[in-house]
Amino acid sequence: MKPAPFAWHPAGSVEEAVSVLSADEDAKLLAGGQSLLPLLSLRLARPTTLVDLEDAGLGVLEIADGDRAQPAASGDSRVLVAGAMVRQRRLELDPLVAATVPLLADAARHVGFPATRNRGTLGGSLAHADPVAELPAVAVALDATVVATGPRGERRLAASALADGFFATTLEPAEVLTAVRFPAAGPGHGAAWCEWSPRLHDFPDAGVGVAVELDGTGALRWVGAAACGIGGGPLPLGDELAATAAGATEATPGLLRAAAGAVTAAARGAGDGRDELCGLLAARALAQAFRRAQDRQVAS
Amino acid sequence: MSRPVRLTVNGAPASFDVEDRTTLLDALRDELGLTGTHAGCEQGACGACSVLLDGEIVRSCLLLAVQAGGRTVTTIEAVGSPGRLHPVQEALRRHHGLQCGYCTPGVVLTAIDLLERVADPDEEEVREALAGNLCRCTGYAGLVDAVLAAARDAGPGR
Repeated sequence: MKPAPFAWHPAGSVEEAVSVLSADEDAKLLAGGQSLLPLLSLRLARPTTLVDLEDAGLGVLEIADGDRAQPAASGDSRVLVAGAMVRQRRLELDPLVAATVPLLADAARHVGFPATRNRGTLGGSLAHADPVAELPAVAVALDATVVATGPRGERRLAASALADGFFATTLEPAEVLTAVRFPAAGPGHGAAWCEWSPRLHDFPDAGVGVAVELDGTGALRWVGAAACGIGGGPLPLGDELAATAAGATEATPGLLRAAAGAVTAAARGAGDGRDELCGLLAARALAQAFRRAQDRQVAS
Repeated sequence: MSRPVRLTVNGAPASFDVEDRTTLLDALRDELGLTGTHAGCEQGACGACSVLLDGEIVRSCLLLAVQAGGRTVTTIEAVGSPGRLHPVQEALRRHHGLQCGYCTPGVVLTAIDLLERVADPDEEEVREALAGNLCRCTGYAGLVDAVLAAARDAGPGR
């Protein structure tokens, strides 16, 4: 028997999960379990209770009206609401995700293996906060909103305010991350996730996601970007890329070189040459995102 | 404290009493005697323990047995028989896709899962699908050849 003893508590609702967490500070949430089960088997985690969210009603995946002033990410004011228990495999394959948040679908393909993506969840990935995880960086790149429910009710926070260093988040001990609201892509949108991992589908050394939106004349009017694998949590890179790429109509070699330089500078301090790796990945992702945005404009 | 679990395994009802901390991998092997599901790394890295859960490939070491209650599990014991190998098993034999055989149950089920979704995969798709199944003997070339051959032999409209 590898894990230390615990009690499994299937929660029928978010409120039930919150109440179990409130009553027992050593209780932990079980989402997809693809990172938690290894920690249990290695006895690096020894919770008293595992509160299983499988039947807590967190599997929603739908388009909704946006609830902020025009999301910066998009000419479309709607959002894709993805419940915390939406499987990574569904993010990868569901046409709704590919159409409305293409960066999410592109990145999900790189998370673990098909066998782990069939179980692993969006919410689990964000709450686990592995510094090399793709999905938290996607949420930061797109300026997504995280929804959490705790003893005092529901609150919303920017994805960039969720990360709190290595494997840590700003969630309260009895809070449950319930959903992520991603700004939906507008007509001139294009996105790409690029990462480098020494072995196919293993944890990446670094990864960068870039999403761009072109205006009616084909000029870049918005860019969002973030990296994983650099420091303790997602590294936002939107400002660096906006400074170099705003108004551009083509991903020229000069633009890509400038973008790589700006991102390398932002990632400075990351060991083993990861800063330069990050710059290269950002240039590659920017070029792909640009091309996809142009293709999308031609098609529409 | 143990808890009763009822599920369907390889087409037949199955039940056992296990502690909550028991993985599906251990329950399959120790409670049901289905030792074809192999315990490798037991932390999700190697793929030897892969099974189908409601028809989808998963790692049985990364699932609690209690989480499989009411679900359908398919293990390697339900695939082919000594006298009548599954086309993936036959292709692995022909293309030297196994030596010690420890990873083979997971490889077979992973390949079946791929071919259920993609009838005619290219080499890159096969390599991507098998990336999570570690084999320390074959160097993978035989595994990839076998899965491509199994897809080819099944032909279009399989």
